[in-house]
Amino acid sequence: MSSEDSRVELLQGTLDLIVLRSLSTMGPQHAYGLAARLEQVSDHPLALNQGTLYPALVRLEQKGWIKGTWQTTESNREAKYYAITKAGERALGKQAERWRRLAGLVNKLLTES
Amino acid sequence: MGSLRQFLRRLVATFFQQREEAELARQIQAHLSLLERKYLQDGLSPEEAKFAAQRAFGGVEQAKEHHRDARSFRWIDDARRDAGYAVRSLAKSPAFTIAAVLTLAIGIGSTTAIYSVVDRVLLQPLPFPKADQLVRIRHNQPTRDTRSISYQEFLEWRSRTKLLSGMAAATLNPQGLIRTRAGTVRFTGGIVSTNYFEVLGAQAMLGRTITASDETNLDVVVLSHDMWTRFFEADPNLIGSEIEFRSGSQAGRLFTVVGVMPEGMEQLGTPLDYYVPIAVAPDRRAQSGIGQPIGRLRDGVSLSAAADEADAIAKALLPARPASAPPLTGPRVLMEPLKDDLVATLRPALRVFLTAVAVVLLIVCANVANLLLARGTVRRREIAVRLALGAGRGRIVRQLLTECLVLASIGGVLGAMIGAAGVALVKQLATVQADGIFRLVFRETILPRANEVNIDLRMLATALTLALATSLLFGLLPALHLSRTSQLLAMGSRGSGKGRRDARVRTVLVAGQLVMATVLLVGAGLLARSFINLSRVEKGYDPSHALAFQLVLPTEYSTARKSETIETLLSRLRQTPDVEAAGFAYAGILIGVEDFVGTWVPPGRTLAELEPETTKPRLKTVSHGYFEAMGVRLLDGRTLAAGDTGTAPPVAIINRSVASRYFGERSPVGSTLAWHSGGKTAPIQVEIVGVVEDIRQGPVSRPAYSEIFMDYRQVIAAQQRRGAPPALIERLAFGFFSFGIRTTGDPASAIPMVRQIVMAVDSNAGIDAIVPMERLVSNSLAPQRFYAVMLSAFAGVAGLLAVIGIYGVLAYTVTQRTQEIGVRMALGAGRGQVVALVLRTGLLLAAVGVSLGLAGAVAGARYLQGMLFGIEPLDFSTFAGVGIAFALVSALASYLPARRATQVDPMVALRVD
Repeated sequence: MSSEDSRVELLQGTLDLIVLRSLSTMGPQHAYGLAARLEQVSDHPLALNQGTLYPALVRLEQKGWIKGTWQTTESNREAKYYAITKAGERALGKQAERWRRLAGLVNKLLTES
Repeated sequence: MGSLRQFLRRLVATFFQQREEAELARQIQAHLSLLERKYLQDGLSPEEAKFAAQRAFGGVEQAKEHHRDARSFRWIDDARRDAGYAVRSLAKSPAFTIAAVLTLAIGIGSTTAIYSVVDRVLLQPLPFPKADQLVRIRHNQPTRDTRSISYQEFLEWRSRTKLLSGMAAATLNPQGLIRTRAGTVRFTGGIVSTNYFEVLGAQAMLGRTITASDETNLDVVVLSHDMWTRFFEADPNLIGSEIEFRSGSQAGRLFTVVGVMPEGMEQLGTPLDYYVPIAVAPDRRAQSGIGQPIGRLRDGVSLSAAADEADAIAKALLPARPASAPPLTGPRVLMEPLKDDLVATLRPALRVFLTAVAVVLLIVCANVANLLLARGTVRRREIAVRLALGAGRGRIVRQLLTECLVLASIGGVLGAMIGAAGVALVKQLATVQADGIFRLVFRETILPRANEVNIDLRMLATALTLALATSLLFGLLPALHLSRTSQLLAMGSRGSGKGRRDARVRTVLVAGQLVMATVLLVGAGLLARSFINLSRVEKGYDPSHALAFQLVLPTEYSTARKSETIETLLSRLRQTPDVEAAGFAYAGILIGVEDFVGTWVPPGRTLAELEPETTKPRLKTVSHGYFEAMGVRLLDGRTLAAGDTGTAPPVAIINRSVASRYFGERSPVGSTLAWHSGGKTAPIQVEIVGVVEDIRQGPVSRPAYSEIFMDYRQVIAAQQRRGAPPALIERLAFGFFSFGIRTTGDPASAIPMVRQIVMAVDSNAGIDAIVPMERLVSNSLAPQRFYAVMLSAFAGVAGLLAVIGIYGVLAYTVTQRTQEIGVRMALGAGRGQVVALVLRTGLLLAAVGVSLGLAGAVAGARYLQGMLFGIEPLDFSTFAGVGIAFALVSALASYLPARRATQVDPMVALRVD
């Protein structure tokens, strides 16, 4: 199996959900931090191209669910930190609910004999 | 809420791409540097850390692409960039761009302008709602004895008709003498039934129209817009005030002004100055005739059904035709659409124009197609390369599309501007100002509703759509055929089989343009020469500095009093410093009245042989001074003098036609004519004392009449001696009471002075139409000038387009054959030979196109027959002239690219693939 095959192709919507959830639990993060955290948490590395976060980030920012601000990191470099907004929290709740229902349905269908 | 916000922010981001790009780049840079730091910490070397960071990040460009897609509306951004690219690309080939834009602009503009006029004038000339329902009823095959329908019959008819929703009558009254602020003036009015305006559906601009309520109070009048502006100073408070209709020398009836009609109402046949209701006592209704009744069809009723009904009613109502009348070959009465009245004479000419419009549009499309095809073929390599580099097919198509759209838009905007200018020009050429009696004369030269013509938006849209469609079709062709293999071919070679086929298509297109343009040019040439002939026709008089007017005297003045008034007026006019000469005439020049009286028998001929002739010389009474006032040339003998009074022996002046007809080469001065004016009495012997040049007494296109002039006082005296009835004498002697004066300065500025003098001489006298002669002459030429200018403009456009077409095709040929030319020059071909090579193609093309065009013109010229004057449709010099001129211009258009061919550097040519 080549490394490409093992990359999970993430749907647009789920990436949004993941980012929102991460920001909600972790607090403000920059893109690199988010990507690092994702790698950390998953069992199989998602092995996502870190660059794919950007379209998701700009989408969420345009919807007003996250807000980005330029700050300096501990190592004195600059990075844009994204934080979830109140609207984002609300959206997160709704999206999470939807995901659970969908996942539940798919699971049920898959486990039926 | 989130989606709305996202939409708006995406929209904004579309227009601030640079800012977004900068922000993204900054973020990515920061991200990469953080990644690098991590790998450095993991122990990799700086170089390796950098690569690892990039690998982990993934494709930076791809990320940027996806970001762009997410953050903005790509298609808007792409469209903007495509448009920018299109503009730059077009700017880089200025010859092509200018040619294409001009072609589109001129084509769209000229066709829109002409169609707007034709549509308004020919297709919709009546400014009334549902004007197609309006009809006019008239007698079929009327004879001299057919009398008009009486008011009684009209009322009866109106009550019987079921298929007409309304029927109205309007009788012309050319004798309305009204006292205005500029003195008493004669107007032409309409005596109308009270439902006239209702049937037409016409609304008043000020006040109200005549309605059924006016049956009880008939002293109301509605004025036309023109009359209100010119003679009542457009006074808005005129409604409700009274104006006086004079009748002879007594104080006239007072009418209350109840309304003013809007402009454009003057469309029904003769333009009317005012409207009054029919006021006929019930016992006189059977004797009063009315004009041809008009009616409105009920919704859904066809013309033929209504016509049948009208015929049935007519047969029942009207008295039988006299037995002497020839038998009827058809219905008793005819019913015609009202608008046909106006446009029947114009139809053939306007049809010519519509054809010209279609032809020009075809030429435009062919030209644009050609230009685009040529350009497309040249760019095939560029497109193939871009495809090979990875551009999507769709992207390329979109970009070509944008180019076509940009081209069509620029052309369209310019075209709309040209169209507006064209409409303004047409309006100016087609509007003829004519007053009083001249309205009757020049009726057919006034294009109905010309002053209301505006750009027809439908036509503009049609022309634009056509142009756009052609641009898109031929602009996109190069992109649509590229498959892998042909890509390679395109990159590698120049003259593929496809290229040759394209070239043939284009050659045919250009040849077609040449043919059409030649045909139009020949037509225009014929019309232009016809117009020049007309304007050069020896008029026999000099209209510059001449002023003409008609006087209106109360009918109850005695003959003596009328003569006295004329003499007083003339002497007062002659005393005025600015006036060189003044005279009176039975009918002024260009009134074109045809009335003969009696037979004139020169010495050596008999009454019996001359009486049955159909073109006998006409008698025109004048006063002395008239010929001088009008600048009529004296050829022999003398003109009339003050001494030729009623008591002096009767003398006459004859014109050249009469002189050559009856006297040949001999001088007729001194001979005597015997004037047999009917009845058993002896003829009046009249001595010929002078010969004048033929005067064109009608519109310039008709040949001169044979005319004999006598002093009006002598005619009166002679006829009184014979015992002729006064009515006949006055008809013979006074006619229209025309006057002519010659001024030292500008005749138009003498108008107020003349009005004052007339009012001073007799306050009961009125003036009908006072106008400088030059304007009348111009009016009489108006239609020919209009057609000549319009068709010339069209032909010019067509010619220009065809020439652009030739240039385009040959320029392309040169580009295509650059390699070949390079080889030839490298092998020793001289400049001249290269030029000849290219020129040959061009000249051959021009020769074929022009010859076919001339052949086509031969076939088509006979359609112009009715519009030509002094020139035959198959006039050799016009054909030859157009052929040679066009061929020369085409040759020049071929020469320019040919010369460019010689500037090809063989080294460069050979190296280019």
